[in-house]
Amino acid sequence: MNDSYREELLSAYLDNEVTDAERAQVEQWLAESVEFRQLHEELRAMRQELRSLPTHKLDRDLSADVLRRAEREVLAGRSEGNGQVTPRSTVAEWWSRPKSGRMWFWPALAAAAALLIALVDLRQDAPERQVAREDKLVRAAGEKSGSELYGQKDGADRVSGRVMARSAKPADADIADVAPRESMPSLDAAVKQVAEPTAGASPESDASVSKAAPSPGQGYASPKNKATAAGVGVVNQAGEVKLESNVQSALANRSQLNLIQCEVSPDYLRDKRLDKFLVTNSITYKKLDEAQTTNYHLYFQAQQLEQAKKIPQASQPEALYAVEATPEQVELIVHELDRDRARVSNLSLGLQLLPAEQLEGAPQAEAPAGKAPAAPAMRKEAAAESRRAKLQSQQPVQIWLRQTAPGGAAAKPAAAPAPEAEPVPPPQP
Amino acid sequence: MNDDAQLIGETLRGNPAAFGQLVTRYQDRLYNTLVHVVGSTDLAHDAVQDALVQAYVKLETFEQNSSFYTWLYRIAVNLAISRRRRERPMQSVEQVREAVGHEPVDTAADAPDSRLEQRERAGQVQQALTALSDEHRTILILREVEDCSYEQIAEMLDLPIGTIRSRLHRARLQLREQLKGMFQEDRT
Repeated sequence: MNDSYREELLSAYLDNEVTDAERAQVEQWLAESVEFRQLHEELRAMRQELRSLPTHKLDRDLSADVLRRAEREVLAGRSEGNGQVTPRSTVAEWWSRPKSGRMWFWPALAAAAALLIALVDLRQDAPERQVAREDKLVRAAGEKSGSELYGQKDGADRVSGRVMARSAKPADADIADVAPRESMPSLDAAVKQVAEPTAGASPESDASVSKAAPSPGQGYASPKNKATAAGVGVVNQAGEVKLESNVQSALANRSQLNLIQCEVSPDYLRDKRLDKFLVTNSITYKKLDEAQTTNYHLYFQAQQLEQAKKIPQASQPEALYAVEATPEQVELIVHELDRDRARVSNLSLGLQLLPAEQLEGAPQAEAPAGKAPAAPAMRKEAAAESRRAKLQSQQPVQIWLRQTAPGGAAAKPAAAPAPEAEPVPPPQP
Repeated sequence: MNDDAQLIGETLRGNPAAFGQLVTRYQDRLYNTLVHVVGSTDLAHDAVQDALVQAYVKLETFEQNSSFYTWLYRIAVNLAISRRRRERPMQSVEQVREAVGHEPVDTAADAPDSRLEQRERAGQVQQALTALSDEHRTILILREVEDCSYEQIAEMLDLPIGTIRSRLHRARLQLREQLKGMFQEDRT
């Protein structure tokens, strides 16, 4: 029996990891050999030294850091080493809800290059807020004389008017003080296309619109932004919007855009929670000013009209963020909003606004400014049929998701009419 | 207090806070072991965080045949050693001192001379540990500092128990060789 075996058995004996027979054998060797006893003593002393090594403790609880990092790992869809994806937590919970439309979410956001986040004050529907909002729209409408109305002008009970879109660049002060430092050409372009829809209009339509525009200083635009104004369309009290032709033209050239909308508590806005999150995570964004926000809202309403009202009507946002984000960053944003359920609710995801030609082919023929576009019933039906056919044969062009309530019912956005059509099936992988 | 299985279940059902409790429960134990394994508080800190993040991400793969800590430790040791090899192949004296730490070891009532001597001895032991291979050092720490059984070590390191036994034996002999001078001093 060699020494190595004896020593290994002694080591195991020290750990009490031997059989009875092995124990008896080791104890016999200990009784017989001085050297073996010395080795035993040294191993015991060494054990004591190891067990006397200082104990180290972390100086803080890592749980918050770990969870934050882990959430990012999960949301980014990767884990070190094997690239395994294990969605979990609140986003995963949302993701796994049958009615949440999880299968729709990814197609909608996978290609996200630009994103709009609309924060709606939770108090949105309080009567006084509603009045204020309507008043704002009226102010935004500017001129209300019949000659400048576009469409509904036939009843005193219907408030309608012209909405101003400004081509003036907002002053720096209009941008959130935590806004990113760098210029964002593509993001700016996206903002311009949406909040300043006339940017993409043809010179002819610009000219025609400028005739109908109110003089500087009138209407919604503030004095410092009293630049050339152009009409977007008309909104009446019933929330109906009709686009002016130049806007329709602009829509034809619009790049893809995604929308996240949610309702937030006032302190969420006051604390600039989302701003801080975006800055912290180095996500490029721009906070739209009030006029841009209003214009966007009206534009969005118009989109509902244009897209057969498949999209539930959205409330006027209190804050609107134009974000340039990778799909991973979009997930982070969604998660950030979703996790703060005490202050954020009715999270809606995944609206895609695609170039208009994907909806209805070439833009509609432009109508002269100041007149409602011709829209006979037959033409509408044909357009709808054409649209349905295109949607079935092409990639889905719009996706609207709403987070389901715990009970399973869809969370109802304020003033949201039921969609008239079933959602379009998601694209096949 | 919730047991590990309950917290794991809650985490998998979408409650990250439950995993936060597991983090709080095990972070110090894991950190202490990893400091001795990698010989650096910084590396150990990073490894602990990485391991806990990985554990969260991979939690669905945890089959609960072993204890959560065993599984977590397995992740942590692999991460710590690979990180150590990648970032700090050589152990400096400063890192050894750092690993020895500043806390007295159950010696609050001891005389200053005694504490100093213990720190010196701890430094010698830590230095001797750095001379061992990662495999031998890890297995010694698991056995002597963590007081893990052979079965637990076998699970953590994914090795047969026979290998654990022979590797422990070799690790001890190597450390004994490194500490020969200290033991000779003790005898004289």
